[in-house]
Amino acid sequence: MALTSAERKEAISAFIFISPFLVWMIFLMGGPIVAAFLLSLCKWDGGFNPIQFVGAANYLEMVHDPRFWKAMGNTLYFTVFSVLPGMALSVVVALLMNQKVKGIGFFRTVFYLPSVMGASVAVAMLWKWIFNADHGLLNYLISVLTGIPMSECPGWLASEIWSKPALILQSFWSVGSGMIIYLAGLQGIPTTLYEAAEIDGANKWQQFWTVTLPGLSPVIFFQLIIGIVTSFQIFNQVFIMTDGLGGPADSTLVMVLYIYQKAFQYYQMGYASALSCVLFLVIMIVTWIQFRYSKWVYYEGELRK
Amino acid sequence: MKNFRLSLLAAACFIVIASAGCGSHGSGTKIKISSWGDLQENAILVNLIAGFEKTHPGVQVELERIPFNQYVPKLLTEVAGGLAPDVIFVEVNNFTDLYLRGALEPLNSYMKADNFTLDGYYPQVVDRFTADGTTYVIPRDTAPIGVIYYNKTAFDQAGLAYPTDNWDWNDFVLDAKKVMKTDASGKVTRWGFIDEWPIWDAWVYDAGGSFADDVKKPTKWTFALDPDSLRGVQFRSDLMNKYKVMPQPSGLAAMGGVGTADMFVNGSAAMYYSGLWKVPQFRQIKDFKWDVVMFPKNPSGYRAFPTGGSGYGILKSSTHKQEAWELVKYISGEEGAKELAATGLAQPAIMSVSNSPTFLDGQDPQNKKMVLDAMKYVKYNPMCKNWFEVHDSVIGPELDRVWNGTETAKEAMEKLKPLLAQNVPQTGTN
Repeated sequence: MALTSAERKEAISAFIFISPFLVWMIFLMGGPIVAAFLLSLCKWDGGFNPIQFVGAANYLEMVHDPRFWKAMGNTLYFTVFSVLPGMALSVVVALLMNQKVKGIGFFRTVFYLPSVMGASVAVAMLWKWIFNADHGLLNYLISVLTGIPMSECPGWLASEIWSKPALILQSFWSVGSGMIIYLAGLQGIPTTLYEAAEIDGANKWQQFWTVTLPGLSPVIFFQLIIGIVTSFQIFNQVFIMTDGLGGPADSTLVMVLYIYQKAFQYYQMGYASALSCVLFLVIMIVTWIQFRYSKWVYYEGELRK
Repeated sequence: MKNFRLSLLAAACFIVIASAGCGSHGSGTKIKISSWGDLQENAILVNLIAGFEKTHPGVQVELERIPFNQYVPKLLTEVAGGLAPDVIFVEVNNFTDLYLRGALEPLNSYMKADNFTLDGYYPQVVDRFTADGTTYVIPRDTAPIGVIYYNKTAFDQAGLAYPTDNWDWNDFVLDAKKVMKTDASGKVTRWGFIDEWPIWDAWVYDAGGSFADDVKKPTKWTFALDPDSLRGVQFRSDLMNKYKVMPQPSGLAAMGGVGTADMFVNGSAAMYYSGLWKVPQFRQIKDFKWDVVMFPKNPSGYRAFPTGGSGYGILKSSTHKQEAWELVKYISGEEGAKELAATGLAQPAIMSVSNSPTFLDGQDPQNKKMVLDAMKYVKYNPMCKNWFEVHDSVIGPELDRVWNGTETAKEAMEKLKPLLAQNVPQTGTN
């Protein structure tokens, strides 16, 4: 189909605008992705010996690798129990921060502040201290509130049972970064809808379910996808808080940490590449499923049948 | 606009200067050596290199310092990128990684041509760096991990006699128990014992246990099948869970920046297990007196513990091997050994230097000569490519449960048997 000259002009300028990203995508992302896939079919120690083609051997090895399954399981556990509660918490905080109260700007800043530091090494070190079983702030708080002596409180990072809950708890630290996006979403919901709902006699609760949530759903959908993708890739916190081991007893061994260990501690670049390809595939599938079942997302102006 | 021109000019100047910097040393041969180590250690090498350049005109040496935990990954990247060093500093464990990958140049012909012998070096560390009769690394130092630092003042307060090198596990536990201190609420304020990192291998070796059938050419893992290994693991667990003289990992795992050495320095652990390298740090202690004693024997009188050690080798990929050899010879000679001895950081691999007043300088620790004797008991890790993976990723996680007291050593060993059976030591070069 021939383009009119105006359309062609528009297409050209569009390409010019996205060209920096395209270049980045093709050379700096695409290249390594293709390289990683090819490497996943090989054995390579990373430098000294030539690359050796082994076909699907790395993928077959994974099936019998208990640590692979352990890492997958831990990653899924973390994703399931951190993303949804984290999102719910963010929405709640956003709703609170959406009130017209004096000094609300201050409170918003306070809640957002931890996210500025994000998942940095310093924050992970800080939490390592908070989780310390014998001297940590968290156990101190628990023992003050409940009267349970500190020695009987959870061992957190040192305990096989409590280490994953500790990581999840720590992930709520950056609830503020979700909050700020929901806050923007909340303020984008037209007040006329609330007025109409009020005239129809809807109470606050009904307004929340029928106006606020649908209005927020595109943002929730976006947050869900991003949240799941990033939680599948959790690494920094675990690496710092467990000294790169994923312990105790592999209870915090997550996929990216396992990939790191295989590549840079045990020099199995091919196997590590295969692991990353599998992780990539899993994230792709999970994201596809989310899009497939995204009918619940309401886009303003869209016609519903 | 004026500013823009000015910045352009500045940039141009910078480029000219930078390229001049590269070009001005263009004559002669340039070789590169990579190393890790703290600043004090590094200064020794810098001095030695300066001396080498003076006596070897026409050869220039570039020193690259890499943090220890990134050392081999960085070397691999450099090799892949064609920027590999000629001479490398290696220790007894990453030696295995490099040797088994065929990365190291055999040194026998160079040694023969120069009549260079290793007769005066500790035979144990020489042997470690030798495979099938071929030498790959000239040793710099040896580091038996058999040093227990103890707080003399704490021993005095507890009314205890100082331990002797002749002590065994029973004496050790008795002392550790008596030297403990608790406050009114029952909280421990001074532990009996702590190790620098979980050095559980030592208890395995000391009990007479083993990891593989043959250190040089391992063909199968013996660890889980060996009742002595089990005994060693159980004893370390008992120190935490039965005798309670050593803090459980729960109290340590999340210590943040505080290492266990700080617990010895601030008096909250009376005995500290490590190697000799802690001496410079502990010489700063003002609050109490301390000394060293050898790692205890097991009750039947046998003794063994792991060891470190390091030296210099040449990468096969080097294009200036003769110059690289000259450098290796120069920096691993007596002069460097003496400087190293004087820092107190390490025990030189040259026996006469370790036996001289330069090393045994009369400073603390008074019982320093113990490490000369300790060489009799050192054990090296099995030489295979998957040693660290098996040690840290197969055995380690299972033993975490033993240290936490949720599993006995016997239970852990039963679980490890099938895992280790399907995981053979990899000794091939690829």
